[in-house]
Amino acid sequence: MGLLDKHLGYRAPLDAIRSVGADPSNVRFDAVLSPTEGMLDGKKVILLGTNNYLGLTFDEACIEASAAAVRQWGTGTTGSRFANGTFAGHLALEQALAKFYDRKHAMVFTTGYQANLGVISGLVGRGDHLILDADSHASIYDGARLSHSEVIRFRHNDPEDLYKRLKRLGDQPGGRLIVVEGIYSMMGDVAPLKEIVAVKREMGAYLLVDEAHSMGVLGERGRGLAEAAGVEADVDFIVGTFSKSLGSVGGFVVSDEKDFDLLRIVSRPYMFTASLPPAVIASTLTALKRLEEDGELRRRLDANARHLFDGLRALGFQMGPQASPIAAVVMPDQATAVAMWNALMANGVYLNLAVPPATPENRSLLRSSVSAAHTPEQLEKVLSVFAQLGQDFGLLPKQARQATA
Amino acid sequence: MQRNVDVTAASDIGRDLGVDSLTLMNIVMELEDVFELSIPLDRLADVETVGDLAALINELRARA
Repeated sequence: MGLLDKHLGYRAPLDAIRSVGADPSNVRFDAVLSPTEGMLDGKKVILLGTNNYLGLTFDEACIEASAAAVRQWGTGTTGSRFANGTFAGHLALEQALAKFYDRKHAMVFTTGYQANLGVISGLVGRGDHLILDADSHASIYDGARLSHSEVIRFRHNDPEDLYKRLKRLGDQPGGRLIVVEGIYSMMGDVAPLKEIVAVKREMGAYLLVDEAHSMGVLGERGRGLAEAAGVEADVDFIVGTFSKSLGSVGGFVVSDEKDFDLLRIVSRPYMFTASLPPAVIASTLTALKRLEEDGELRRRLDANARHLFDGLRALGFQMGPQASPIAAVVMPDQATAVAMWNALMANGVYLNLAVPPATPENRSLLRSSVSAAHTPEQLEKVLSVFAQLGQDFGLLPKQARQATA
Repeated sequence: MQRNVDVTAASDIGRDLGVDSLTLMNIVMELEDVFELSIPLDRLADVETVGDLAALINELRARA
């Protein structure tokens, strides 16, 4: 019996998706021309599923800084932060993040995934209680498992359900850590953070907010939902990523917590892995500076987000509860979602296909993320493709169809 | 599942009842409300049958 036999149950669903077109999990870009355009199978496509919120992957200053760094410092650190892998840039980036968030401490991990693993398992352990939003990202669930803490889920974005489940813990010993996200990665909906903070204060727990999709997106200074909701003083830990608004790869945590430095010697996902290459540190530092100094990026992102979300909803598609740079179109079933995804690609639009079990409420979604770098013309092209395909697939209500006839 | 199944203590939650891990977590959230109990997710690792789940709930109730 082969070791991989246990996974054979996935064969049939995978074959079913592949049989009707391309495999969404095996897409290969032959070229990436800009934050918003790429080449797929010899065809130019608009990139609408990239999390490249500020479009900084081709920013000149970020590229120059990155190129200079690789020339000066070499291609890699070849070591962990714990040993020989901390260069001046790693500390400079931690200081810049702490300053950006107005916090005492910051810690940089090699990926956002590792940041959640490392932070969660460092903060809660056996006997502690971790209460997480049911729709949390895989990295949060995996961090939960690594921690060996007692993990309780609460209903997505439901502060009353959070309160009920926290209250149910009674006077059991152990710490309590609540984990929520700023903007949720599938539907683009926002956590009711003010209400969650109220529960946190009443029940006396710690609060961690994962601002992966909200840093650079929400808040006056782009610090995320905690800033936008005016509750930064009540958020004990903010975790974020470099792979979205900051255009590279990596993760971080910021906090004012006493003894924070001990995390550096107990967090295995921090210690037992190589640190980020100097080129990545340099582009990220510059991207953070661009985020801080160029308010126009966030203004354009916001305008583009509304343009796409409002346009799709006006066409008659079923969307999530609010406009955000993540615009998910709900499909009636997985087969339609897969067919639409292929048709969109054939018409020059690449976005993400999200099917169960990775999606809330087992829905099949066409998930798009908008960038500050998209032009209004590109978004109009996307909307016209959606309008045509929506009609072809019979997805749009009769009134909308008549309006476009 | 679209077919009738006799649920017994020996029923395997995944194989016999067609319940995947996410659905099981959602069922557990409901059971927590029904029994006014906290059922930590890490305890589900040892739960394979309906009988295992019932035993877990009884254990947690006895402790509470």
